[in-house]
Amino acid sequence: MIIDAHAHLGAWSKEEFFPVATADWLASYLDLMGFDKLIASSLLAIFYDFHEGNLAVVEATRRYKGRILGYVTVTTSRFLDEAIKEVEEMVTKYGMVGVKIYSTPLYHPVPMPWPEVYYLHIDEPWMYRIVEKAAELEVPVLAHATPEDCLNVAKAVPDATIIMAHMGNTQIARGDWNKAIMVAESCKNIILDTCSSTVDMGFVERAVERLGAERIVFGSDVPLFDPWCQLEKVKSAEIDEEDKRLILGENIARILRLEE
Amino acid sequence: MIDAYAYIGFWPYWPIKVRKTADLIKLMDKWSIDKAVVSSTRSIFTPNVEDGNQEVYEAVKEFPDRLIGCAVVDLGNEESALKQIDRALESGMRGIRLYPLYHGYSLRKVSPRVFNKLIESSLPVIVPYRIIMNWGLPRLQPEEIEFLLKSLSDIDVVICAGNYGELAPTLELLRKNDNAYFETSCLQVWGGVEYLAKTVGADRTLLGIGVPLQYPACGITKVQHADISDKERELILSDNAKRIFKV
Repeated sequence: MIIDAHAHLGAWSKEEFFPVATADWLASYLDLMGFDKLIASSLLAIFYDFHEGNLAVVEATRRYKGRILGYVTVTTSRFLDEAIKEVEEMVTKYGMVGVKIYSTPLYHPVPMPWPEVYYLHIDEPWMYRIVEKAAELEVPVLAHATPEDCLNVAKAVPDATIIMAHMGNTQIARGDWNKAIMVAESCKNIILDTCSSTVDMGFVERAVERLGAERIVFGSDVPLFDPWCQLEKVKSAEIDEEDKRLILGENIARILRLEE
Repeated sequence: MIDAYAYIGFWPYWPIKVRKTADLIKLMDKWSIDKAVVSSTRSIFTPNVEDGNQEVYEAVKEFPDRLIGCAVVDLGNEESALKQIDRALESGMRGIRLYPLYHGYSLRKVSPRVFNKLIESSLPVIVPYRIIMNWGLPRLQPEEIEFLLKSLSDIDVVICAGNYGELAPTLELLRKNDNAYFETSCLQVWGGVEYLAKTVGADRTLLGIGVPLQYPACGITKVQHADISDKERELILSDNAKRIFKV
C-alpha cells in the first residue's frame, strides 16, 4: 500500500513546465505510479480563496472516492471564526481528513525570492485555535512551516498531530532536516513528511534512526515535483523493508484511521 | 552512465556515510554509475583551492577509469587564477569548476586575461547554482552565469544544480548560448528532463546526481522514467558527458 500524504489540486505557477492538477490528473497520477491513495489540498485554497478551493477538493474526493482524500485549508488565522467553522464543516460534513496550513515565518535569515507576506503564519495564538479544532476533530495538521514553528504549535496544542511538511526541507526553513529531526525528537506529536526538492543522501535513514519509522510519512508534493524521485528517497534508503512500508503508507493510514 | 556533477571530500554540514574515495567507487558500483566528474569539497570551503585539487589529482590517479577530475579555480585573483588554470592543465584535469559565492568574487569582475586563459585552455567550465539541492545553501544568480557565458562563448559551459526556480532563466541562457548545457542533479520538477529534451534538446542536457551528497536513485530515476527516446536517454546519461569531458 502506498499513500501519498502530500499532494495538491490545482496549478502551481504560470510556468508551462508545471502541470495543472485536476481531479482526473491526480487519478491518472495514482495509476501511473501504482499508488493506492493520495491526500490533496487545493492550491487555490492555500493562496487565494480557501472556501472555493476546499469545495473543489470535496468535488475531487467525491469523484474519486477512496482514492483522493482531502485536506481542508485556511489561508490565515485572521479569518478566525470563519476559518474554524470552515475546518469543522469540511471535516464533519464533507469528509476532509486533515488540515493543511501553508505558513510563512515571521523572520527569514536570508532574503526570499518573492515578496514576503506575514499573514499565513502558523505560530500565533489565533492559529492555535484552528489547530485545537483539528485536534478536537481528531485530524492531523499538515504544516508547511519551519521546525521551530512546528515545535511551538505542537507544544501549545499537545493533543494535535502536526505533520511537518517537507521535513524542514523548504526555503523558509532553510532546508534544515537535521533541525526537523531534533525538534521531532523533543516533541512526540510531530510527524515528518519526506517530500521536498532536497535529496540529501542519508536524511531518511537519519530520521528513522532518531525517531523510528513510525514518525515519518511519504509525500510527493505533486504536481510540483517528479514523483519517481520522491519515491526513491524512501525506496532506496538503507532501512528495513518494514520501515519502508510504514513510511510509504501504513503510518498515514494509521494517523487517518483509514483501516477503521 | 556518467554523473556529471559529483564530489570527493568531507562534508562539513552534517555527517555523510561516504567519506573516502574508495567508498565513493563502491557507491557508484551499487548504482551502475560508470564514471563521475569530481571536484573536492575542500576546494570550496578552505582558503587554498589547490589542496582540494591535489586530492582530486590523487583520486583520479587511483581510479583513472572511474573518476574524471575537475579543478576548482578561484577566479577572484587574476595572478593566482592564471596559475591555477596552468596547474589544472598540467595535472590533466578535464574541467574547471567555479564557486564564486564561496570564494567571494563576482563573475562580472573577473579580468579578461583570466577569461582568455580559460578559453585558451579549452577545458569545459562547470558553474553550479548551488553545491547541492539544499535550501540552506547560497544560490548563484542567473545574471552571473549569463555574464560568464558571454565571456566564454568559445568553450563549453555546464550549468549545474538548477531547480525549478532556475529552470526558466537557464533555458533562456541555453537558447541564447549554443555552448551552454544543463545538468540535472537538482532539478526536481515534474517531467523536468522531458521538458529539457523537448525545449533545448537532449544533446544539451547531462545527467547529474551529486554523489555522494545526494541519493543516487533520485538522480537516476528522473532520467530513466522520462518520456524520451532511447537515443535521447543515452545522450543525457552518458554521451554528452563523454563528448564534453573528452572521455
